[in-house]
Formats: sequence, C-alpha cells, structure tokens
Amino acid sequence: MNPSKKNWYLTQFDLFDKNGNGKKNATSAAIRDKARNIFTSGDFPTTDDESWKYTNLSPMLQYNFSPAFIPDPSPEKTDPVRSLFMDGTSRMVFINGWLNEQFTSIQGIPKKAVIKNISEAVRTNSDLTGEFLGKQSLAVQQPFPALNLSMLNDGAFIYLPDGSELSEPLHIIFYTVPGGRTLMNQPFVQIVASDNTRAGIIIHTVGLPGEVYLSNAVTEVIAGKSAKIEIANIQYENLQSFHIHSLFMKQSSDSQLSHHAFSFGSSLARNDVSATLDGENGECVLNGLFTIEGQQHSDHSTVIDHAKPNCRSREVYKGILNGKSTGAFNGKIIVRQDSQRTDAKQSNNNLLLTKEATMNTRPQLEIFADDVKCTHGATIGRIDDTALFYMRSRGIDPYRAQSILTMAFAMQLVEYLPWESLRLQLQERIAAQFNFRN
Amino acid sequence: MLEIVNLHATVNGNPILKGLNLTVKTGEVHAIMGPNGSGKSTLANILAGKEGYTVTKGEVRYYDRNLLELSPEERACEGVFLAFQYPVEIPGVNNTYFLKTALNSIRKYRGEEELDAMDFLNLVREKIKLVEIDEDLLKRPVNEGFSGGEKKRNEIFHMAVLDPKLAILDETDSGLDIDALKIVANGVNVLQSEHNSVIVVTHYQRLLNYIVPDFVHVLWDGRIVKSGGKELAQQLEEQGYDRIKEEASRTATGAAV
Repeated sequence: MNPSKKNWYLTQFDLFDKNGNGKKNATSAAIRDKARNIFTSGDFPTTDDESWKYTNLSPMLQYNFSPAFIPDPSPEKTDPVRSLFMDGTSRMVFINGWLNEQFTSIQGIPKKAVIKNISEAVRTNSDLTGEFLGKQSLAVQQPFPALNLSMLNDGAFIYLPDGSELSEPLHIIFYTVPGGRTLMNQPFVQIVASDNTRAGIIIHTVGLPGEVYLSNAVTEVIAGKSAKIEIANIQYENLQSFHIHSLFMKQSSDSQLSHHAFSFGSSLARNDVSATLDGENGECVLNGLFTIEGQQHSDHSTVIDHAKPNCRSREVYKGILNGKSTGAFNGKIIVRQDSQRTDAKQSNNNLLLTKEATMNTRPQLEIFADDVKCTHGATIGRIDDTALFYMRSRGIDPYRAQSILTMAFAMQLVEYLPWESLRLQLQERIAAQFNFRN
Repeated sequence: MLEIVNLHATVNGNPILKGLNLTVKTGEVHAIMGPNGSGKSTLANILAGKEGYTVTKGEVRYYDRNLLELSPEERACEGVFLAFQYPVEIPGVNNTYFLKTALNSIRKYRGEEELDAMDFLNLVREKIKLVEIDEDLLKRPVNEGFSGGEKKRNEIFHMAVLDPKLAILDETDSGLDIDALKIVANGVNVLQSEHNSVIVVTHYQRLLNYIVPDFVHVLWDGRIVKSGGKELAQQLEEQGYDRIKEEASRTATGAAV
C-alpha cells in the first residue's frame, strides 16, 4: 500500500484507541488487532486486479477519512432519518457509526435472541460474539472488511436461537451526517440465524447531502439448517460519497437465504457479495437493482459458491444507467467437483438511457461437477424502439412512454421484496427518479 | 377525411411506394389487398408515423392537415389508430394501466377531462364485451404471453376504448382461426359508424366476408392498380393476384409506349 496512505490509517487507529471508541473490550480488541494486521499487510485494489477491472478507486484514495470519535450530530441533522421509518418494525439507528437510542426501538424479540448494538453485545454476550463476530470478514483477508473491523466500534449484532422467528422485519439504518472532518462511516451487521429460524432484515445505508464521506459497510450472515432469511440492503448515500459494501453469506443444508440489493446513491459504489452454499438442498437468491445518473459509478461483484450438492441459486441483477454513468457487473458461480445436481441460474440485464452511459457485464461460470444445470444471460440495451412506437401510436408521449418502460424494467426487482411498505417506498423513489407519474 | 396523393416512400433507400393515391371519406370502409411485398404494411406504418420510412414525394392530408408532419402520438390524439400486425409485448406494464394512460393522454390533448379509475373501469366493462376478451388479460402485462388471437383481440379492444376516427387494421386477420376472426370482425363492425372510417389491410379475402368494405383496392408494386366494390375481393379470391399483376404490367407497358 502507498506508505503515506497506510500511515494515515495507522494514525487513525491510534486516535481511535485513544478516544476509546471500542471501550477496551477484549473481544473487540482481538478482532481489531487481527483486522489491522490484515489491513496493513495488504493493499487497496487497483484496476490491475481482475475483479476490480472496471472500478478505479483513485478518486476515493485522494481523501483521508476519519471515523467519528464522538456521536455529535445535531438533532436537526438527524431528524430526516425519520422519513425512512416503517410501521411495525423493530428499529436500530446508527448515526455516524454510533447507536442512536432515541430512534432505536426493539420490541417483541424471541426468547434467548440477541438484537443489540455490538458495543453492548460484546459485553453481555461474549460467548456468542466471540464465536461469530467478524469471522467471515477476517477469513478473506480483504482490505475493506479489514479496514472496517480495524476500527470496530458499534453496529448490529443479531443472534436468533434454534427455531425462533422474527414476526416483523428488523429495520437497521446507518445514517451519515457529513461535516467537519472527512468522515468514514463503517456500518457492520452480524446476523446469526440458527437452525429453523425465520427472519427478515432491512438495512438502509443513507447519508445527508453535502460533503464527501466514505461508507465502508460489512454484512455477515450465517443461516443454519432450514433457516429462511430475507435480507434487503438499500443504499441512498449522498452523491459525493464513496460506498463499499462487503456481504458474506454462508448457508447450511435446507436453508433459504435471499438477498435484495438496491443501490441508488454515491459517486462510486462497489458491492461485493460472497455467498457459500455449505449444506445440501440450500437455496440462495441474489437480487439487485442499481439506478445511476450523472457521473456515478456502480459495480456489483458477486460470487456464489456451490460447495455442496443439490443446491439451487437464483440471481437477477439489473442496472439502469442515465447520463454519463458507468456500471459493472461480475457474476461468478463456482460449482465444486462434488456439487452434483447443482441448479444455478443467473441473469443480468442493463438499460442504457443515454449514448454516453457505459456498462460492463461479465458472467463467470467455474464448473467442476458434471451433473449440473447452470444458465446465465446478460443483456445491455436501450429502451425498446418497437415498444416505444407502440405506446406513441396509442397517444402516449415519448417521455412518458420512456419513463413507463424504465419503471417497468425496475419494478421487477421491487416486486421480489416480501414487504409491502418497503416496496412502496422504493417504488416512490424510483418513480421520482424517472419522472414517472401514475 | 384522408387523402393520399401520389405517395412515394423508400425503406433503406429502396422504393416501396411508387405513387399511391387513395381517398377515404368519413364513414367508409376500405380494404387494401395485395400480395406480399406490395407495400401494404409500409402504407399502414407510414400513416401511423413509424420511423424508418422516407417519404420522397407526395402528401397525406388528414382533415386538411398534413398528417406526415405530426408525431405518432399527435396522430393518435387526432384520432388515427393502427392495429399492429405484430402487437408488441411490453413486460412489466399492465394492460389496463397502459390503456388508461393512452386514453387519458388523448383526452388531455383534446382538452377533455381525464377519466378517473371508476369511469375508466366502467368504460372497459362496456367495451370488453365487444371483443370477448378474457378479463384476466387486462391484468397482465401488455400482450406478454398472449396467444396470437389474444393479441389481435387486444388490439381491437384498445381500438374500442380509444374510439378512433380512422382505424387502420394491418393484417389483423393473419394468424386467426375462424372463430377469432368473427369476433375481431364483429368488434370492428360494431365500432364502425358514419362518424369514423376503417382501412383494412389484408392479404386474404376471408376477413372481408365479415367486414364488408365499401371499396376494395389492389396494391401492387407500390401503387393501387385496381379499385372496385366488395365484389373485387371475391374476384381476387377466385383468380389470385396473377391476373391483376398481368393487367397492371400491360397497362404500365402501354402507358410507356
């Protein structure tokens, strides 16, 4: 790594320790130490790295980011977060990385379940946090998850014991109020869903408009046997920000794990998904939609590892690119030698609304077993001229027709969501973006 | 209402229409027949305003306006309707929603109040009977997964709701079985009145057993080479197009001499 850049973060680690963000807990300290070792011995990726070919981090690396050492934003700056609240859900709100108790409310949790902020959980549930916290991130030795855990302070820790169920989705919001120093907000969510659990978790990462900041998020999910878990990540960072999200998912046999990624904001967004089907008869669903404009860049890189036989994966990603925006999708599917009767399906469809927008898509299938069913399809196209003419010939003006067609393209992903309130929220947001009126 | 004078048009530089003349008055039903490649669909598409056609000569007057200067949506708002030969599938766009948007766009253009959901539903219920369309198709995305017959019936259903002054049916009979053909024809007959006109573009005579035209025109090599009453269609059915082609080339040769 560039020595001055490395020194900057080493200084930040020192400042972080001196300011006592982690409150000197042994579990957190041990994770931070491991993460710092990984971080300092590694490098930020460059476009020479195969999986970062289309995402150049140099604009981000010009900045020196610092964590928020105290939870200081004023109420008038934090109040807009209320617009995201959904009725009937338990809610955890983190502002600049710190739990906000005023907005947080958790009710009706199953017996023996743990839904806590991490700084609390490491004190009260040291056995569980010691067993699970950050394990998947530390195993991969990548710089962004390592940077996140190098300053592990707060975040959400969710543990569901065998057979438990969350009757309403859990809503987690990471909110950045930029200002003062160039902030880095590093959301961390750990989800441990034991055998036969049912849960839905909605995670928003959001930032107030204004100054540049880095949102470097990590989500780790473990799904036990026959667990049924739905997770959505919705990214509304401000348009100056940089957003990195590293998602790790590991599933046991007969589990169903669905992840929905919606990405709208930030000047540069990179989403890494690493999903492992680690037990037979598991089902992994990855859905994603990004809509970008202006000079925005959005990159999704997913890996689904069929490590065991008889598993199913379904992946649908879509991109809508306006202005001079650029996008990339890389979808890798690995089918191990013994993973017979794997059934994998991947599709990536992209809509370019201007001539200046650019999209790169790359399916990557690595199949080592012989009895498998793997299909993939990728398209990059413009608004369908024949559909546009059909609509115009019935009296609909071309701007309206284009917005209807764009909206229809996007709504497929919204309709996959199991929660109506979130569907409506997203529909409204996408409609506003494409000037769509009902 | 419609006057086509000496219309010449090219596609990718290839001349397709070569001096077409046609006059349609309000309340009339005209059938345009002709073999494949004679320019039937080109004519229909040019009237609707589809891109990809270059008019090199001639003009199209529609109620004293130059039709060719209007955008496709303006033509629709002025009462022109094209029933597509190949209706387009639009995934994700609900058929009813589409039609309501279309109708209200047209009403807005004409300075009429837009219909609310309730009024629109009543209108749909009334029109749906004409084409015997399955109500389920209204809830589905436009034409997506519809059978060939369902697509054509959906076109006539759209036409019924939008109530055009000039309806152009481009090979609406192709791919229809006889029952579907009757339903489609019945829909057209019910909608046709002294206030609106229909141009039926077809390869075969059989649709004209059910939609009885006032005039039949034979299009060949980009021109109307013969016009007559409904009996002309019957004659074509019996003799085929070859006889007409021969006559037409004789006339062309004669004219040259």
